[in-house]
Amino acid sequence: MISSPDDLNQDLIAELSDYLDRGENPPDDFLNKAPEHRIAFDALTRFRSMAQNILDDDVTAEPERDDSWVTGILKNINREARAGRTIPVSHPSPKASLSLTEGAVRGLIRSAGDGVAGTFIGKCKLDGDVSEPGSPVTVNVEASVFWGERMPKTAQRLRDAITTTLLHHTELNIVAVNVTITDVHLRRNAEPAD
Amino acid sequence: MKSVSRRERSQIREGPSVSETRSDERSPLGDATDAILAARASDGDVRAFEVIVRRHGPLMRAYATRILGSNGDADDVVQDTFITAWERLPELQDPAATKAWLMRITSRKAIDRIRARRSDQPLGEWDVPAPESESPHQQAEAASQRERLTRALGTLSESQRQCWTLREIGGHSYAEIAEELDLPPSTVRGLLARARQKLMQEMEEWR
Repeated sequence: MISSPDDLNQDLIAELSDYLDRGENPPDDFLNKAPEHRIAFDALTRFRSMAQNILDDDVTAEPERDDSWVTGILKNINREARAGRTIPVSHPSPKASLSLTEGAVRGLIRSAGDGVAGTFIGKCKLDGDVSEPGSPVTVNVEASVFWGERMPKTAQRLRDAITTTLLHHTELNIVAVNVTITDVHLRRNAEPAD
Repeated sequence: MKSVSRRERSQIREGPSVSETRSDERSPLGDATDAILAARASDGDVRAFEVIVRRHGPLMRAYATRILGSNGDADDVVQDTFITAWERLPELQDPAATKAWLMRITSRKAIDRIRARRSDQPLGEWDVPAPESESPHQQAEAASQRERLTRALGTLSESQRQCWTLREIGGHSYAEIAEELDLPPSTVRGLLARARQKLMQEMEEWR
């Protein structure tokens, strides 16, 4: 079978693509062997960089949409999935059985942290037997601080805010609040124009 | 309240951080990194998840549209993607790689959808040529590079375009594409070479 010029091109492209896909440049000898080798390789490289930008361009070209796609997603996620352990809450009536979920306590910790300017709480863990009243519990949180904040001072503020909130809203016996700064963030959004 | 009956056993679910008021891009969390947001969402913070959805949703929709070849089912793919993401967030090893992780879920969901459309045939055998109207000969000179590339992509067969999109936009390896599309890796290599060759011809960069 005689291969058509198209087949030859395809073989060449497959060979050049293999280099490109391995993140390598073909040897100069190969590129200089025939002008179409270099032309083809340049075109392939160009397509690759175009491809890398095309989604961002697609997003830019997309007209502004209403919010229903976001609400649709949020309505369909299972919010109960992260409730975690059940933490008993005492009540004067013996008939009452009150409890708090671990997820709710994590929510309290996050909002306490978010109240400290320039910080965000990330992962949050309650270590200890929270289901047993009075047993010692250690809070381990990861946090992000705004670029330029003094970290030890910010970490101390976070610890204080979390301790105060948990003291107010829970009966947990908190023995330690450990804050690990894992991230630094910058302002992404422009200030609101008002 | 005097007493609480057993039936009224109450559970306080989420803390005060979750309210029904919707935050927008100006949500204070809008400045948080993906790593922080993913960690929070994995702990059950719906507001953090919402910021992830807003930040990456449009890109996932564009990616789904590129794989599907039209935006017909793109919204459904995006919805499936984020519902799955919410469920699997606790398994995400590197929260900083949230975007790449979401793109992988998106491509899988898009391919599932294509597969469901033609459940009776493997993808590779459905190598229909693009409709004639997409031919670049009938198109006026394209205004932008993106439009030219989009038109050139329109001349590829469906499986050529899918291979090219997963490789060049999604950054998947041949082996991953082969697995996703249920094709032998040699076929993927051939489809990619053919796709690239056609793109070159269509873009008139070749010869």
